[in-house]
Amino acid sequence: MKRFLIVLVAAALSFTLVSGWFLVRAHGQDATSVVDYGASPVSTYSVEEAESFQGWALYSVGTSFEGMPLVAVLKDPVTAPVDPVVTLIRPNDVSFIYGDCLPQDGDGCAPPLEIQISPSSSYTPADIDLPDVGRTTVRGVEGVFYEEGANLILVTGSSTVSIYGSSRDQVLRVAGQLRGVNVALSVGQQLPPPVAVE
Amino acid sequence: MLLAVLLAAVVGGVCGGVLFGGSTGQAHFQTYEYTLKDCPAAYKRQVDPINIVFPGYADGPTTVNHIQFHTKWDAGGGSTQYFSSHGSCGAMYKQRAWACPLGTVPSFACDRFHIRVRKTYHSDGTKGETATGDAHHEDWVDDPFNPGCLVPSVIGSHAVDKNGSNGSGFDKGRREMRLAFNDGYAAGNHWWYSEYWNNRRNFKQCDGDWARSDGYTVHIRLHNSLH
Repeated sequence: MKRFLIVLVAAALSFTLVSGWFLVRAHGQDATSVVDYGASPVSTYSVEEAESFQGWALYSVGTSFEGMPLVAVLKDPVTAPVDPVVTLIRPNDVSFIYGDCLPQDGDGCAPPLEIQISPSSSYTPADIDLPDVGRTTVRGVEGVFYEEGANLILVTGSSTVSIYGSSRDQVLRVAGQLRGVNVALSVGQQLPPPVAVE
Repeated sequence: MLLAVLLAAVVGGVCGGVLFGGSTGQAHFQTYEYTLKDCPAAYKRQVDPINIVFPGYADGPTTVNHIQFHTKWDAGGGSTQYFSSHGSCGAMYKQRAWACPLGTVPSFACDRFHIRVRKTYHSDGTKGETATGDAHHEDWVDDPFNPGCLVPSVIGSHAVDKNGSNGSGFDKGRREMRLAFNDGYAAGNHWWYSEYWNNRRNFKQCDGDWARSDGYTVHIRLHNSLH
């Protein structure tokens, strides 16, 4: 009986450890993230790399925005598009993603906020074949709304900043909080005017 | 005076009809740029970018008939998603995907191309009847190192191919669709062109990777006869 109990306890302990290992390995933190948001968001770039990036100017809202933490930094340039006759504008951007979401039923999910910065030589609103849904001025530069107002695009300096958020009000608040990542720009300062691109 | 007002109204109505598609049945083309988990359209319900538009004669049955004929994507299996156009939101008409090898359990548990489609709310004066879709390539993920793909189902889940130097699964699916409609037999019947919509939001997949469209939609014209 004593041996049976020892085996039972050992089995239970092993199960707990193995289960916990799988969860921690996949999520990097704790088991609660499984319930809330599934797998941890994978980053393909880092804040440190962004800070020393030598390309175009990058902007973010820091480590969190209105309670949503920075959960991923992405840099996945499309250099050899699968369909080059279509992909004339090749995505070349750095993204800062705030807040998480839960993919379900084989579907992906949209995070609450993404700030996607491309060189303005890649594209500007003038290249978009959809009508905008409004224009505004943010910190001295023109902002153009798309996607029912949930997407705001700013061309500043040599960068195109595309903010994918939840509403017109939210993306405007984000624009008001943008700060430089690899350039000196603090909240409250005007954004640099667009630089002419050949 | 009254006659003049009536005449102006009639002329204005005719001109408006010519320029803008006129009646409620011939409004301009408009769609929400992403498929949805549910209605109404909102960012938190976005699932996939719209990357295919079928102009011409794209009612539901014709669209699915053409997709099956040209792509041979003749299987189903997948979640119900929703589409919104002109503020009218509703469930997809149908979905089509590669058939998995015989004996696959469940029957859709394989890497595959996949699309969901729905006719837009209005016809367009120039484009005709239009339908939109979310073509993509997705992998079946069921290993224990990706438990996010095992929740809530324990059997696994699909994840759209992540971003890479060639693009993502969304770009691959769109290319596959475009090429299928432009094979030797179909050439001429199904002319195509692309538009840049910039619907490049990243979508988290069940394995934690990200997939986004390159922002292009390909428009493939459908003719008015079934195959």
